[in-house]
Amino acid sequence: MSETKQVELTSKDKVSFKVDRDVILMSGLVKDMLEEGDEDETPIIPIPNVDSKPLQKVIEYCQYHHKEPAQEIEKPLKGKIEDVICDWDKKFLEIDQSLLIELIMAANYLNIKDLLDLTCAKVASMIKGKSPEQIREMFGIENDFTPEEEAKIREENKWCEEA
Amino acid sequence: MNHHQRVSNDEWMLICSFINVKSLVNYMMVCKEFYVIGSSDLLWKKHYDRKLENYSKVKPVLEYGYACHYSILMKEDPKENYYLHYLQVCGMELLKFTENYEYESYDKILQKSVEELKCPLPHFKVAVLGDHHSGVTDLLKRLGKYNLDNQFQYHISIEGRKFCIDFVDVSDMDYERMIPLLMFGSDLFVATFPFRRVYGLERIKSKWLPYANHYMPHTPMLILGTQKDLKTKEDDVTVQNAIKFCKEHKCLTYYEISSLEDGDEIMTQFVELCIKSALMTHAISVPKRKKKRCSLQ
Repeated sequence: MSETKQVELTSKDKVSFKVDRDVILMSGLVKDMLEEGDEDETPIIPIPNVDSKPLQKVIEYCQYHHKEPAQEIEKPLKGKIEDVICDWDKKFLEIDQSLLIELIMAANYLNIKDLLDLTCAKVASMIKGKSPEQIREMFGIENDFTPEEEAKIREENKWCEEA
Repeated sequence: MNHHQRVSNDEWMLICSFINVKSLVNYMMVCKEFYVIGSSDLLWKKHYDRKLENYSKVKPVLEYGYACHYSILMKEDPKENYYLHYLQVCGMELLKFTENYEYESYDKILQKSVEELKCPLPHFKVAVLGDHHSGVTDLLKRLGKYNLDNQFQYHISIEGRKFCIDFVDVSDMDYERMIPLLMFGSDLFVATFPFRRVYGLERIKSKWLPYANHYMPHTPMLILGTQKDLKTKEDDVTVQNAIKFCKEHKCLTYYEISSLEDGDEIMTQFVELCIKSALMTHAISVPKRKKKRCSLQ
């Protein structure tokens, strides 16, 4: 065998990334596409749903984790997410919220389970312990409950205790 | 930034699977869409299962040889609405050991006005406990219309307020393990014993009190003597020792009735007594729950 095969990914904003085939096989979507397609020298795979910035992060993640599979994250999280993930992941997650959300969608679209878990757990960790108002503020959501409905829900889960 | 509109429901679901019950409840209160996502069975089944698992660890081994209500739930997976079932289990846990009712004579209870009791519940469930041929079914037949599944419905208007009571006949059960299911969700228990029988109050003590204390210790209990027409002077059960029994076992009050001889007036009085007793204990249990809440925070 000669040098490692490469794959070219094109983002939504038409930026190309060359990635080792082994690396990008972490993505279920790309894997399926490569299996279907012909064995070109460097197949070009368009990723029309993902911008270059999150795609760059995805590739970064795959490059690190294709050799070192991430540990599964417990459900539900007991403490902060930082306590259960490796140092590399911690650094990886030092990003702003909008990029994090884009990463979630990219990971979902590209079908990379570990990355999806990691990013979702990060959001979960952000939500944890926050009041409904704080969550609304965090994601810019309108409260569409009427005061009566809100009171009703508050009443129904009033005694809700941890399992 | 309206991020959430781009995050799909599946993604939110995955996010929610990482958060604990308290946060999930907060999440559900954000908006309607989140409520729907957050109350999904996929999320709550896990919490529900764990809740019951923990519960069975705490719960001591069954003493009376019948299946505990929780274990019935455990064996028969509810299959849906796990969120609501979870809330139900939480509610039951909180209400444990709040059976501090003081004895009050029935005429005192009847004197209270509905307004005073401050609970606008229009619909009650009353489980009438008793053995075969202890006159329960006869009594209920006199009171209400046979509905279904051993239920008799009774409509009454007290002080201009309409009430509806479902009387559940527990005496007619062929299967012991059905009893807790019939008792479940009652606002009041009426434990009956017929006069002129050897077992009398002892039977209530040995059979019905354990049931009630085991499954729903927070539900108040009335003691009712049935077949009063058969009562004689030699009868072991006098009003005095029935009241003593009530005080000892935290039962709310004692009443006697005869479905053969008593007129409609007495029957109505009995139903009113049931309603007011149920209302009274609702009034009692609410501040208690609040107290518990504070200590947990």
